[in-house]
Amino acid sequence: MFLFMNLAFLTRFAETGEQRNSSRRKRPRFPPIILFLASSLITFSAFAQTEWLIFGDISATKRDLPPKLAGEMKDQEINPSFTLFGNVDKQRYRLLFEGVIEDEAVDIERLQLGWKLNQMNTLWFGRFHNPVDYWTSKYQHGLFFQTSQSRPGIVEFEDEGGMMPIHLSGFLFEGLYLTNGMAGISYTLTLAVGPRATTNRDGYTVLESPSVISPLEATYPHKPAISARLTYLPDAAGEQEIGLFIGRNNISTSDLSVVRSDVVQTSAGLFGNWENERYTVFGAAMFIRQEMDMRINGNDQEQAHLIRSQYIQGEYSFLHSLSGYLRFEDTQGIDDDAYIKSFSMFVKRRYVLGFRHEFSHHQAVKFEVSRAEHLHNSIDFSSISLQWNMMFP
Amino acid sequence: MSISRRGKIALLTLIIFSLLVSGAVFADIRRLVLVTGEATPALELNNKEVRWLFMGLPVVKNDKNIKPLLNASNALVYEVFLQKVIYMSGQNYERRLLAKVFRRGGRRPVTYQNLNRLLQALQTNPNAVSFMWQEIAEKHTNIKIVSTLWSGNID
Repeated sequence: MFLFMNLAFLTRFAETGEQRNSSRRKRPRFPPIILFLASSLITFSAFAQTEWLIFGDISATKRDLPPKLAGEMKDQEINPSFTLFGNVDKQRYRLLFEGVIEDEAVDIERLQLGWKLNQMNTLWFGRFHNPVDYWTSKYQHGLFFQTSQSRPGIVEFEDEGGMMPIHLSGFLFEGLYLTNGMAGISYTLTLAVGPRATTNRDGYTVLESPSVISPLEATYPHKPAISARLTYLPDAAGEQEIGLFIGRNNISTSDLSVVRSDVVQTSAGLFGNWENERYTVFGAAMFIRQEMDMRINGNDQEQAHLIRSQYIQGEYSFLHSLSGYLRFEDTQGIDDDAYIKSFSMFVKRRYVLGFRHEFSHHQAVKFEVSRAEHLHNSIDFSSISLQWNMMFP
Repeated sequence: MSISRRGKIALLTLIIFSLLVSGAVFADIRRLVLVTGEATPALELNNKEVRWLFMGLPVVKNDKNIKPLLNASNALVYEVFLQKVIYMSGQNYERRLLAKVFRRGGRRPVTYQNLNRLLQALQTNPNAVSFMWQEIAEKHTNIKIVSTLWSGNID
């Protein structure tokens, strides 16, 4: 009972920041957060097994912007963020929560209620991360676990210029099969609704995730999204893995003038992670086919584009607490795609070099330089950034 | 063939010396064992399953979920367990567990800093397992040894 009272409270609270991508971002409301934290911690800890993690991050970025972009992007900015993660286990049920407070928004990133069918399989309902791609499943919103500061453009979060749905609402089934040897096979299947494309107050196209409370309610609807992922782990308890994913999203675009229909986005790809004591190499490659009706010279025309995107990141651990990393990411086949072109801040190509130093228990500092080509007029520019991360406990 | 009295003394001295030396060598060998409470039914877990268990994967035996309890009451036993059974440093192990919980939910194994509390937890939970030095396990009649996880010299 207490669990569901808190869940109801959470979902009410979630609405304060849910519409961050719509025309007006709402300021975070701190009293409800404190109330939520206090009530949840006290209630959950009293009757169930819980895990809580708190993450804090501060990023400072300086961009060497060309004059054309000077008015559209900030040449320097400081972004603090605070993430709270909670897991509650009660018999066969599990509640998982991940909330992020940023400078201008409060978001419930994950809110899932799971039913453990058995030890290996769980059926979830709620809001979760799309299993298509690898990066989000590996790191979620936990910057402390992520060696690099930035994420690849193709899997950027919706409110940061991403063009693929990262958050879905609906059902998620996931499980693990252990072989007789060391290996394991994990599988994930989702049946959900995804985000819709809309225009924010700055005139940029962004994807807006379904509401946590009522994912099907909207002025124009969120459409179905299905996805599946299969992963082979040579050592079920290890981090090395290789896998494939496939997904199909229908994205409403009623708010975009140039696209006259839903965008049907079908994606398929491969991913892998290999690591030993000092080296880690991981990446993903995917094909995305996008179908839509476009308004061209006053006529609606059906169009389909095939996009290819890949990223690879290599990491080397110099010392126990110091790592260096390099990343290359590239997306091709987007020049005639009106849907992607409306995401003007989408990163098309980027070279990244950085270092991460874990200087004390659960505190790290990262330094990163990058050269990125944005979709907007194919302008490229350099960035330099510094980030501090902490995790508690 | 007869051996002189002096020869017998030399031979005896050699035998005694050899026994002492070998005893000293054996005395340095430590055994890390997997233990359960005395009420736990017969349990078979190999090192791979123990590693999975302490890495957060579910292990079911006799239709029961086995619950891992981390013994951090002694820094050396904890370190040897991580190095020889989990094959990971303490920092990496902790980070892996946290990352796993963060990704998919669940809980980390409970850590015990106090041996008496660990022994109590083993007694009260028949599905729990932990690890400790063999000589410590043998001193306590309310727990039983399941298997040897590792044995060797500690430099």
